Amino acid sequence: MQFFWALYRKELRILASSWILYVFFALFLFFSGWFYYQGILSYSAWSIQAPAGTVVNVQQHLFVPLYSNMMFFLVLLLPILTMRLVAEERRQGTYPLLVTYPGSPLALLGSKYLSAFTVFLGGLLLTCIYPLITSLWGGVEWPLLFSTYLGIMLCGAAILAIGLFFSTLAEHYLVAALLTETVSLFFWLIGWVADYLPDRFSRILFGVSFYHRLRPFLLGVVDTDDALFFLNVACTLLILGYYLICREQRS
Amino acid sequence: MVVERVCKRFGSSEVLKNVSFRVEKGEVVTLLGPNGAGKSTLMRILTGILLPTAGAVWIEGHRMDREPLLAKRHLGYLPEQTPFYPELTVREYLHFVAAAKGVSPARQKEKVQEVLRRCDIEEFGNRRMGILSKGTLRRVGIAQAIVNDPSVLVLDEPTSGLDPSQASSFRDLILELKKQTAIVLSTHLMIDASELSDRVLFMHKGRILLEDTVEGLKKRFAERDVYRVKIRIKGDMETEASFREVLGEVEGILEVDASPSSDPHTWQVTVFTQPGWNPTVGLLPTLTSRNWDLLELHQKTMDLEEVFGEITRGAQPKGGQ
Repeated sequence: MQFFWALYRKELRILASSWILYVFFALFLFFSGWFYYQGILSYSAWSIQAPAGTVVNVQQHLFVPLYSNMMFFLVLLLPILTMRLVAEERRQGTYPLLVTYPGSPLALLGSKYLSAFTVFLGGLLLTCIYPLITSLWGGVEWPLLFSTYLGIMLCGAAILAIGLFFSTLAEHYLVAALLTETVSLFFWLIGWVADYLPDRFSRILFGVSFYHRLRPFLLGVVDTDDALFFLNVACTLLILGYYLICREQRS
Repeated sequence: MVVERVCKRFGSSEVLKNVSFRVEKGEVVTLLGPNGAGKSTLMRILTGILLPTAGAVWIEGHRMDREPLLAKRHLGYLPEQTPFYPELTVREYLHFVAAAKGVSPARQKEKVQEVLRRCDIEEFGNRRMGILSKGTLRRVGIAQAIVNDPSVLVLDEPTSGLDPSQASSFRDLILELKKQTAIVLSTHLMIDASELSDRVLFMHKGRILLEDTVEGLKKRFAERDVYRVKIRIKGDMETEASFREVLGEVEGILEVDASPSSDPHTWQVTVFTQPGWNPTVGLLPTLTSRNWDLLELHQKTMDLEEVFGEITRGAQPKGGQ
């Protein structure tokens, strides 16, 4: 475990001194702030147009679009957190040296994964300010928000695992980022195509669509089926990464 | 470290064939051989970066492919190019390596300070690695290799890219480290092999062709002795042919090369003789009879580079394996 935590701390230290962390936080907070601002404007418009005596649901009209947009933006942004994790070690030549240290390939991948997840979680934590601000005027349903954050964490975990896998596979970190971006976007958008397809195809596509798996969480429904889907994607990709490293040793 | 019948295949090509040797504490063993001999692959197997197709590597009784974590705890490795993290300072980097190699948290600070001092890089401790010179980086490289007090050190081209004075002090450092560790090094530089090695393993086409001490190898390949002789002639001028004729008749001399120096009366002669030939018996009486003065006489020893050349040309050593 000492190897795991040493590598975890090193990753965070390197992320903290590179442009990646700052670009990630700046873009993420800027756009999520902007989405929140737009959400408030829309919510006000809804409230004004609503018949007298009707309460416009904050979760449905403010937080669902906010977090759904935020997650879409994370699909674009998370690959920059994972792209360098292994690919950059290879490019710098530090990777073979890491392999000579007393740590298993699983600890190597696990620590890198956890470091990216920590940064992602940090960013997510900062967005808690939006419901806190909204709660000053009341109407925030905290259990629903808990479900929303759980869904985003699970979806993010799956995307980070895809990113780590491609970082292990690719020689250059930009290639890793591009591949992660493409695959994650594909699984995000695939559900939109499903609407236009026959039922049996659409059911399959909805089943693998990140957006459709996330949506119940945004509406406050914690479905173990959806949670297991994201965990399954994350574990499968981590195991594939582990397999790649072991195969390299035996090649 | 024990290397036992290691074989490595990449597809259909067999890069290492039954390589076996052992290295004890206090010993430096050098891998020599032409490019493509399998040295790099062997180094990668010794350090656990690659696994052998057959055979095994043992470090302190732990088999690398079965107990990699235990084996690697006793290992230090310096790759040919010193890899580094430009964002980290030297001290941060060494702390990370110490922790990753399992040095207990209580001892990490002390160990990092110790290797900074031993490798003479204390003044660079707080500098970022991205701005260090190649020589300093090399020292950081060796510092990370020894921060866990390894019992086996694997050094790949340890002095490559260093200027002569840096290389010399680096060799001194390796000789100092040798007291507590078993060292395996791979090099193309014969000076490193000559000055550092207790034993040399000559690799060729994936096999260990020869294993001997540096002196032993030189002796094996010394098929003839070489003497450099400086002679001053008196009287008539001599030609190269006359030296060949006169000295060629001396018993034991096989070949003679002669060339005049800037002074036309002084000649530089190279004499190739049978091994064990005695110049005082064979040469001196002949010079005296011709009234030539002997100004200098010294035996030229074969250096490792020449031995390397002989082996790669396919020469068979005397009493070779």
